[in-house]
Amino acid sequence: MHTYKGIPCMTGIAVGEALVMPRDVEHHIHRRQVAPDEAAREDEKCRAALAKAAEEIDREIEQLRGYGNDASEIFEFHKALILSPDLAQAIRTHILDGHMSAEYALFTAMRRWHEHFNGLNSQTAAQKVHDLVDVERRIMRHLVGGAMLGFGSLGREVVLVAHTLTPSQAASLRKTKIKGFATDIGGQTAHTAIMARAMAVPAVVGTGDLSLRIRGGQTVIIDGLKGLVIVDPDSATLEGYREQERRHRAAFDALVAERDLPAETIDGYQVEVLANIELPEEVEMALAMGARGVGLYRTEYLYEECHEPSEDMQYNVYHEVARSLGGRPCIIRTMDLGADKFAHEGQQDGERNPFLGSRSIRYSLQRPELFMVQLRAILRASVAGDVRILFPMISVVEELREAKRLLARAKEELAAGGIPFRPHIPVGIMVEVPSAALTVGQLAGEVDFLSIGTNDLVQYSLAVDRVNQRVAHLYQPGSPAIMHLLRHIIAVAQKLSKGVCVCGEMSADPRFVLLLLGLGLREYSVAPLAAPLVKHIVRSVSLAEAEAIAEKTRAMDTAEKCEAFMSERLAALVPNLM
Amino acid sequence: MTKKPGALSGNDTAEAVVQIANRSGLHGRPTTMFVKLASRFKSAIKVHCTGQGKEVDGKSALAVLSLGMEYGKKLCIRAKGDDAREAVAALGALVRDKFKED
Repeated sequence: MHTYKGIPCMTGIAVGEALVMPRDVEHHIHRRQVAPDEAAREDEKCRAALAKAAEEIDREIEQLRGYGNDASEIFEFHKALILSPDLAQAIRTHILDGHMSAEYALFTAMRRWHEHFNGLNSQTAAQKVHDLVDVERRIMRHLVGGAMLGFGSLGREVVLVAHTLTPSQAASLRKTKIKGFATDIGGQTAHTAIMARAMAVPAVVGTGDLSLRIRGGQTVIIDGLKGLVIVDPDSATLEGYREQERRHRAAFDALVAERDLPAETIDGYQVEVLANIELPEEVEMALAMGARGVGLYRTEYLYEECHEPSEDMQYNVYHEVARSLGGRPCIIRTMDLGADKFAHEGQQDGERNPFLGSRSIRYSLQRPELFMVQLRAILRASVAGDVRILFPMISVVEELREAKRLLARAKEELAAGGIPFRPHIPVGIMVEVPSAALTVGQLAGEVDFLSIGTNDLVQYSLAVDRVNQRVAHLYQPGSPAIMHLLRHIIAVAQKLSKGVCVCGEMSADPRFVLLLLGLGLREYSVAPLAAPLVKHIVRSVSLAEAEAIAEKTRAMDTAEKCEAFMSERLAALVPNLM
Repeated sequence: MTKKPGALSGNDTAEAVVQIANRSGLHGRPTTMFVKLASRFKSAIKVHCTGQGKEVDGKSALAVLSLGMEYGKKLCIRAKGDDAREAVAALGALVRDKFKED
């Protein structure tokens, strides 16, 4: 049993068989057993692939003739590796005795050589691992007929362990039965993380070199709550996680069963539950989970797939989201690039502290030509439904005014071209910087609605990078300072009759759902899968009870006391919760 | 990848121990040269690093490389078969000649 630690990016538990996609091996391999009578064919397939790979090298050497010896020497060496009798023999043994498919046999044989070479106390041999990888890719390409296998053909439930995923690979995973992900590199905003959230499967990223240490078919547990990947768990651990997985599923199924009941407190107060999405496909899931619309549509993904997405391309995507929401709210957040999210080319060059640098709306305003493209696309899509615009990370009122000026210019341009749009499209801002929270009265006067981004608000208010293990314990959503800011923002919004929503992780934390309700919040925007949970909690309590809880926390001087109290009240009011 | 010593077939046997004399050791190019030369002989050829019992196929690049033979280490070459002596002599000379490197 080995445990690897990474960064959790989608909560939940997945137990499954590993499907491994290590670095530089473009073909994914999964453990496939073959019947004894198929073994001869697999063996033949492998021999043919080895021969073809060697012939291919001969042709390449021929082409290199006259270009000096160095290049062809490497090819000669690779050819010698491919023709090593040990390799063919090892593959043959795996096929005949292990009943492995040709691909899996090659993969398994190669992993053993990798391990051996890495274990050698010799620089010479260790450097040769790269050659092995290259040779493996070459043989594998011939084995699978030159084409990369599609993930869509996966017949059963597996857990994907990859070095990293390209956008197209991540995209091809959308409609598969993959139960969970783990990748060697990446942060919470990597493709893998986005895809995991869209597919609602647990994921852990940044596990180091896991993909090289694991073999396809090994049993893997992905603990998306603690950010752990456990390989070959002992039976007690495995049983413990299986039980947890079952409990989660049962509890979740019970919540989903009542997803269409209204989010209304016992004493009859209505609450709005919306969804946070990143991909157009998630609208379907959001609605299926009982969300009343989209409270936060993150658009960074478009910039990751394509460096400068065109106006038409963006228009098509936004239009599709708005259309499929059929008149329900569709709040599109303008590009929030940089810092922990996908950074645009050159954006963070020479920045000592990207979180305090040119990120989000600041970057958008520094790149008006790029920003205008997005504003025009959103405006054009606004005729398809209840589209609203959300500007992220406003820290001073000048930024808001400048963004609104550009929006007005985009409207003029469209009007001049006779292109239709919603003229009074509602405009809102994210309140996620302490300065915005403290001056929210002034800012709210110039917008239609507010959205509280609790992740950044907590991080900036407490000056804590929550990914930094040395200070992560100071990232305390329940701290008195945060409670004070939330109370202030919600109260001001109510006084000015502006809509206010919470769209950070806090809004899906059961304890805070209760507290925020008591503070006066009436709009939550959460991950699609969390919508049934939030609705269930709201339905289980009365507003009077929630207000009493919020009032009681006023006197608490530490996050620990506040969170313990909320947990205790939650358990009393909403029993049998996960 | 490991074979028991003494599993050679044929009549003649020959054996030689040579020190790796080229600075970069048995890396890609020398390994290729060694294996290519070994493959020209009918005899079965086994090699190992002296002091380390593991003996491997001298005609397999993967296996020879896996010995991790660096500069100064001693390689034992054993051959069994009709041309065993020629094989050991030729392979020994290749190593002593530093694979035409340095």
